[in-house]
Formats: sequence, C-alpha cells, structure tokens
Amino acid sequence: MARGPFSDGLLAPLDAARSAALRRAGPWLGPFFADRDRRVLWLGLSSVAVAFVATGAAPLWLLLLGPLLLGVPHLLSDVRYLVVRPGLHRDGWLMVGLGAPLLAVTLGANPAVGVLAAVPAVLSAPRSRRRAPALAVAGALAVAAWANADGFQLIFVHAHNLVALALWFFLRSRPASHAWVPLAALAGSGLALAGALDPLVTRFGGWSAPATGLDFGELVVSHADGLEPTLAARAVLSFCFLQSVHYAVWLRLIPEDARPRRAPRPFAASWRALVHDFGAPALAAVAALAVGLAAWGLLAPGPARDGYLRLATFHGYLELAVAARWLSQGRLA
Amino acid sequence: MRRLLLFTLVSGTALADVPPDNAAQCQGAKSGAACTTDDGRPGTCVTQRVGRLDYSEGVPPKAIEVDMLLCVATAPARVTTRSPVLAAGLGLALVAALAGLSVVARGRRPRPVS
Repeated sequence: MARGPFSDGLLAPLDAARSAALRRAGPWLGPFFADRDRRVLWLGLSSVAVAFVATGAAPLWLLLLGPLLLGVPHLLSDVRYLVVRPGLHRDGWLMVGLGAPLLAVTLGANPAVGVLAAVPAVLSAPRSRRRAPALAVAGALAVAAWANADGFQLIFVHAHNLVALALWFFLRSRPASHAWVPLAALAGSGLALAGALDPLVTRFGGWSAPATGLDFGELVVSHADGLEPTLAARAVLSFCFLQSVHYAVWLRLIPEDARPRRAPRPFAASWRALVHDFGAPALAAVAALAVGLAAWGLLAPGPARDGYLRLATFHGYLELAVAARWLSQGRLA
Repeated sequence: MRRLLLFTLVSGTALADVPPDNAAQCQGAKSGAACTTDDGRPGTCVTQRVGRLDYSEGVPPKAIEVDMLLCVATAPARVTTRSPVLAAGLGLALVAALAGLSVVARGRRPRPVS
C-alpha cells in the first residue's frame, strides 16, 4: 500500500513519539510487551481491570461515550476480522445470504431472522461432521427467538458481549494463560452482579448523570426487565462492564492477534493495512460516520446513542453467524 | 407495549427513554391533544401520576411518582387479528431461500483468518 499524507504526515510523528517512549520504558515494559503472547495477555487483563474500575466510577458516562466514540470503530473491526480478512466478502452469494437477514433485523425484523444469518455462514463453509450440530444450535436459537423475541433479545444483548470474547479466544491457538482474560471478564461480571461495584458507584456519584441523558431506572427497564430492582441495576452495571470489554476485544486484542507480524506494529503500517483491507473511499465514509456520530452526540447525546445502537443491531448477529461457522469448522473446540 | 419497548431497546430505539404504556404518543404534546392508544383506540393526552423507581441515590431504589402525559382512550378498541399461518409461511420461505443461496455458494472456500 502506497504511503500517503495521512500516514506520513500525521502518523509518522506519532510513531516516532511511541518509539521514543518504548525505548525509555523498555527496561520495565519490555518483558511484558515485546512478545505478542505476553503483550496480548497484559493488554487483555488491563482492559478488563480498566473496564471494571470505569464501570464503578462512571457507568452512565461509559454507557454513553462507549457507543458514541468507540462504536463505529468497533463495527469496522467486527466486519474486518469476521468478513474481510477471512475473505467471506469474495463470495457474492454468501454476502447476499448473510447480508439480507442482517439488514432485515437491523430494520426491525424478528430476531429469529438475524439468527438465521448463521445458516448460510455454516453451509458455505467446507462440509464437516460438525455442520449438523452447528445448524442445530442455530436452529434452536432461531426457534427460541421466534417463540419469545423479548426474552431472547434481553439475553442476547448481554450475551453478545461474551460471544466476542469467545471469538477472540478461538481466533488462533494460544497459550493457556490467555484463558485468564475471559475468566477475569466473567469474574468481573459476577462481582458486578453480586454488588461489588455498588459502593464504588455510590462513592463517585455514578448512579445519576443528568448530562448524559441516561437514567438508571430506564436502563433497568430496557436491560434487565423483570429482575428484582437491585439485581436489575447490577445487571446494568454488568452490561456496562462487559460492553467495555467487548470494545477492548475488537479494538485491541483481536487486531493484535490477527496480524501476521508478532512485534508491535507502527501506526502508519496499521493504517496502510486498514486501507488495504477496505479501500480509501470506504474508510472515508466510515470516518465521516464516526465523526458525524460524535458531533451528533455533542448536540443530542441520547438520540445519538439510540441512532448508533439502531445501526449496530446487525453486528451481534454477524458475530453469532461467524461463531456458528467456526463451530462447524471445529475452531470452537 | 412492553414487547415493543424491549424490541426497540435491542434494535436501538429509545434505549435511554423507555416510557410507560400509552406515554410515547404524548411525548412533546400538550394536555388535551388528540392521540392513539397502544391498542389503537383514539384518545386524549391527559396528565397522570405514574410510579417509577429512582436509582439516583443508589440501590435499593426509591419508589417515586412523577407527572406524565398519557394517552387515555376516548373510544372502544379496534379488533385486529394476525395470521400465524402467514407468519410461519414467511419464516419457512426465508429459511428455504437462505439455505438455497448458501448451497449454491458452498463450493467456494474462503481464506482463513490470518
């Protein structure tokens, strides 16, 4: 990929600054970051820790700013590593089979339609003895979604954050120590549900943040309807925490693991790889979308967040479809 | 109504602003304005006291009451019916279409993730 004014003009100085910082911090950080396996482990654990503390300190701000600032980039990463890098986009029929239900569910179709995106994802993979079980799982989920759309969506909105962790974990063969990352995420979710974050949220006044336009009472109805009120608030905290981990997975862990180069990659090289994957026009459109969403968020945070969430509906079902495909290929084992 | 609210949550609509039944129609309206209730009846926006949970001071939440404009029916409901056969038929047709498309695409093996 050719160099350009963006990579040479803006990113080259950033790379120089990062190199200088790494040289200075080398004696301390080197052992943790020089090796990819170790780097990914520490990035994962520190992401989980930061997400946990941030959830305790300012959950409503995290629920607002996470989608507005990281939402679009994480969708781009989602499509990049689930569709573009594996080359699924080269299969036109598969794109139609995947895209139609994903578009339909984004436009408001029953969630069962979104789940059915798993069918073409599985059937287009090389035939294997795991195909039938993968289709059976997808079918069972579709039936469950059709029978009880509300309940399914309520569970799915929480569970899809964990699907991303599973996709990351099974992206490649990795040391057993990496299992600490999903275990830490599960532990953090469990602690939030058990009330461990309550004192922290109270200490930082996080139960209320009028400037965000978000309200815990309303979030409880939308994210944890039917639960006992205190447990429901903790479920919202758990969602907030896992959503932050979800963003970290797509924006840090998966890109680290998916690139051929094991050493940290310069920003300029990462940019050129991104341009190679999507092309400049598509990236310009995504950048405009991200900037537009952030600007909208400055003017009307609540509606902007709603708008993003409406747009992002497809990605949870895309993750589910690819997870089913990997299940059929024996990668989730 | 709750079904609609939950659906709009996950599809991204009104996530941060989930009103009680018959409230959405009167959002931004004035008392006395004409509206249509959740079940399709014509109505009028009327200020009423509604209960809600206030989490602003932490858990457990406090039960409070707030004034809110709700759509109150002024005429009997219209009866609407759904066809489960039609819905099931559409679902099966979609599954068949997707399966057919995918079988056609089956032979093309994608490049694995790097």
